[in-house]
Amino acid sequence: MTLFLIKLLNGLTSGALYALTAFGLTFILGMLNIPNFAHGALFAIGGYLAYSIGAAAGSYWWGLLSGATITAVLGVLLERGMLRHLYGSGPDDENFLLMALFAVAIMTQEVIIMIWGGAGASALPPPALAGAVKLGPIFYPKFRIFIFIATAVIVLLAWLLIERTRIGALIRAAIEKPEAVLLLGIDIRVLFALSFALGAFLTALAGALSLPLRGLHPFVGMDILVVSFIVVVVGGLGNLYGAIFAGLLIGILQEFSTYIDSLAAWPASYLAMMAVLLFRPTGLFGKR
Amino acid sequence: MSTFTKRRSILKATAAMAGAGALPFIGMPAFAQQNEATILGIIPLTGPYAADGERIQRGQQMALEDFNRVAGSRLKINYISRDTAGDVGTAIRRIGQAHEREKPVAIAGPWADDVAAAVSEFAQREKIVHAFSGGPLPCHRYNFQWAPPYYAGVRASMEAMVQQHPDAKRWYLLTSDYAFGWTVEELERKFAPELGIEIVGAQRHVLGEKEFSPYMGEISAAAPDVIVFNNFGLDTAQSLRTAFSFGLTQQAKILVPWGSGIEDYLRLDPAISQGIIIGTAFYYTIDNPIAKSMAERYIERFNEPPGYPAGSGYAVMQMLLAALADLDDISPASLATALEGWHSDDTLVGSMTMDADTHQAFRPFFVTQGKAPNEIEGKFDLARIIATSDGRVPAGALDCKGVV
Amino acid sequence: MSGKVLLNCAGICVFLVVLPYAVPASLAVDILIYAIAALAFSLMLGHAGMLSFGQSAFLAIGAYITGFLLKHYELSAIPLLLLAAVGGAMSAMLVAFLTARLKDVYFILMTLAFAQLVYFVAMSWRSVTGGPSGLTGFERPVLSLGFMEISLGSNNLYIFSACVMLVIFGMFYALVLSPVGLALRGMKDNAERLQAVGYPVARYRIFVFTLSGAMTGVAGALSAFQWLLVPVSKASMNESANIVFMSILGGVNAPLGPVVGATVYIWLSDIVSSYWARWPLLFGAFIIFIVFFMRGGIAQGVAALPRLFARR
Repeated sequence: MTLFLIKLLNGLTSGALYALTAFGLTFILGMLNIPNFAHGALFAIGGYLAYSIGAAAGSYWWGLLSGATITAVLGVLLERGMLRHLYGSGPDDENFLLMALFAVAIMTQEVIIMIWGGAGASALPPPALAGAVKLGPIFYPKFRIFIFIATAVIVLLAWLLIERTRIGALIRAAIEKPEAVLLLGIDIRVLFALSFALGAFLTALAGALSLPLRGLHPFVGMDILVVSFIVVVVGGLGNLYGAIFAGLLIGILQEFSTYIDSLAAWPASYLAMMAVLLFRPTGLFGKR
Repeated sequence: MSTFTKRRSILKATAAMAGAGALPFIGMPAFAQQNEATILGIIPLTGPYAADGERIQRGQQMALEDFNRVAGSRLKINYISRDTAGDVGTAIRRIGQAHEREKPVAIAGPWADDVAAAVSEFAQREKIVHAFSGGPLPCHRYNFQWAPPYYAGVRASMEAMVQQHPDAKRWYLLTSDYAFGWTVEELERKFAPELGIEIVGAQRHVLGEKEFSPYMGEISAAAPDVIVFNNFGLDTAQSLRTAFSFGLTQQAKILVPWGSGIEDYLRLDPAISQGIIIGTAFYYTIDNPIAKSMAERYIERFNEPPGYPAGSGYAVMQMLLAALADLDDISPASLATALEGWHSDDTLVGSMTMDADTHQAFRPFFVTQGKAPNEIEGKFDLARIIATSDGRVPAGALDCKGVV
Repeated sequence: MSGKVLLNCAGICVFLVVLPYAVPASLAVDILIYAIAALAFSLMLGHAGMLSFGQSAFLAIGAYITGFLLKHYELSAIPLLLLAAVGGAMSAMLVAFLTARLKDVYFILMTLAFAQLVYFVAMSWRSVTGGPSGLTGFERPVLSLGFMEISLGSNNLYIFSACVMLVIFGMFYALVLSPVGLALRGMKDNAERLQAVGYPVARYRIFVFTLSGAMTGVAGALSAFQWLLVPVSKASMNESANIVFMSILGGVNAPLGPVVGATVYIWLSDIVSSYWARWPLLFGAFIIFIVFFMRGGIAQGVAALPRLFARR
């Protein structure tokens, strides 16, 4: 029973990180309609920046916040500086956009190695969250519980933003009907930039949160990229809340598939995605 | 070779007084004519092991510099290097091309075990000497293993743990799922009954695993006295961090029977590494003049102590160069013959003999222990050597029964 | 149109003759291996509009079949190539069915997922594939032509690979120029319209996928012949990405584009990587440049040169 509990909590906590990243990805997907192949790079940069700033400032929290903010800014620069030139509707346009994003991801890996070295980085959890806490029959690391709670709070805040503010309403409208928003005299480019920034911010936050959990290495971007896409496909492309549930689901799936074989975690995720693509292509929770 | 020892020590003393520090290769009689040889260093400069590759290359180049300083007039070394990118296919391709163009007499490296297996096969086919550190690999006429046999290392590490904690009899094994891990685990199971150890559980994890939380539950449930981490490098760091976050490193004693040395300690916070026992083929505080000199110069140059990658890079290259320098005619066959039975008391790790039958090196293995935070006296003073084994194994204990 | 055809055919012949003089034999064979894989990819992307991110699956399957058979049985070169082609073709057909109703990013993800499953099988099925250490322990086959046997030393292997390349290029180019090729390009532009006019789009998809898989399988077999080892990395996502990038680099629409791309990529990566380990940074920048200014890749750049000079 204790084993089951620990595994469940593990699945929920790593699932929470997946959910957060996928949530960010869905913003970008829903708003700009681009599958962001550089999403993993944003995760990695957010994490590494949090590491350096946190170490320099002596506070994990400052690292977390500034890492995510700087990454959001970088994301906006990427979108406005490069990506917007590549939007188009021809058959080749999307493919080449994906190529460019993937190239950015590869370049980011190299930049990370150049700045932070190839060995990877990690940090201990902040003192307030170090150690384990007794939850019924088991001891469970405090930081992992924090990740779950933090993700829930962040998602709640994001929901409030989208559903209850004017900006959020504009974003929702722009997703449904871009022309209508233009008629209102709103500069849609600002909305695009904002959405990308939000998506990048959330992902970078996930990266910073994973620093004490799994540590970072230059290739973490690729791993996260694949998982994020598995999650959004399973949840339903463009479905914000589907992404959350799918993230948790995939986290739990990976955790429990180690019962079968230590290697089984990632093929299980791929098989889940393939099953969804074959039998319910709009995702478990449907599109938007 | 040992006939030169006395002369070598005199020369060494002289050199030391001259401020050169202790260098190997001193004491070699001069030859009239300068020979030439090409050595191919293959290392992962990109890819998942890029950080290690950089350090291996530093070690290789330092050994070369030391050699040129002392014995460069006897032998001109053309050192070429190729990046394996941590990938077998890329490595073999680049080695094949380098071999076609440059005809090296020996290959030093690589780092990753699967690449090493392929390189060894290549070396056997093309008849070039392959000197490496790690394994396990099938032995043949041309390959030479610098690291001590796993038999010796695992034994030494286990004995050190048993000696320190004789009552800690329930052991749990977490093993990485590839040849290295299987070999180490098999040896542990073999030695356990003799040492009075009961293995209460074991799990395997995939090489390069990043998320170790799934394994912690079972370990916790087994309530072992000792948790053994049969993995290496980043896997060790990651699994230990996770175990720490689950409170396991505080509840049980920790053993890493075959680790990287200072790198392991540098990757972990002293809060995690205090008291853990890590066995390693090289540690930078080894107490002999060559090691001290190399470590000092390395720290000065690179602002970090040399770990296993740098140490093995240096030592393997040192062995090749020393053997080459004494040859009249440079060829892989003559080098292989020279290496069989090669002995020196002045290697990086101390006294070493390359066994002629099995092409394994008999040399010391070091068991280290992490210092508590209040014992640490400097940035790199994270652990101490608590035991040194002589690396010898009983006859017939090695897999390689005889070179083909 | 036929002037261009002649130029392309002459081009490939000249290339095959000159290559072994410009680079060492093993590098030359490696270039051919990836050129074939890149051609197979460009058939999918350039001519049918399908961005497959899982070509490594077929490469690996072809290589593993070859290695396994060579290790346990006595077979000569051509039957092995054919068997590898069949393996690649069958797995590609499976992927075609899996992706039948998928488009855009969903298509890409499914191909990636399949390739990653192949990677998983390669890693775990140790008895057949050798697991993480790869498949080793086999010798190069002889080329048996019925009336005589030729051993495939490094020079002969190049000549053999060049002949295989010629055959494959011929098939590829003939397809591109044929009405089927036209239909494929129509499929790329607007599949629904083509379907509405009566073309069996689904069958064309399966056909092009299968052919691409067969070609890539052959490339895998050649790779096994050349290196006498099948590393598990042949099935990795990295390998798929390399193939994609090589093709884009050279130009997916021009017939010789993939060949040029493979040559430039492999040759440059070996040279530049010995000077600067971080060279993928440059490469990524170049890909972005291509996406912005030169979508036809190097082939487009080369074709534009005459115009550049003509203006002056």
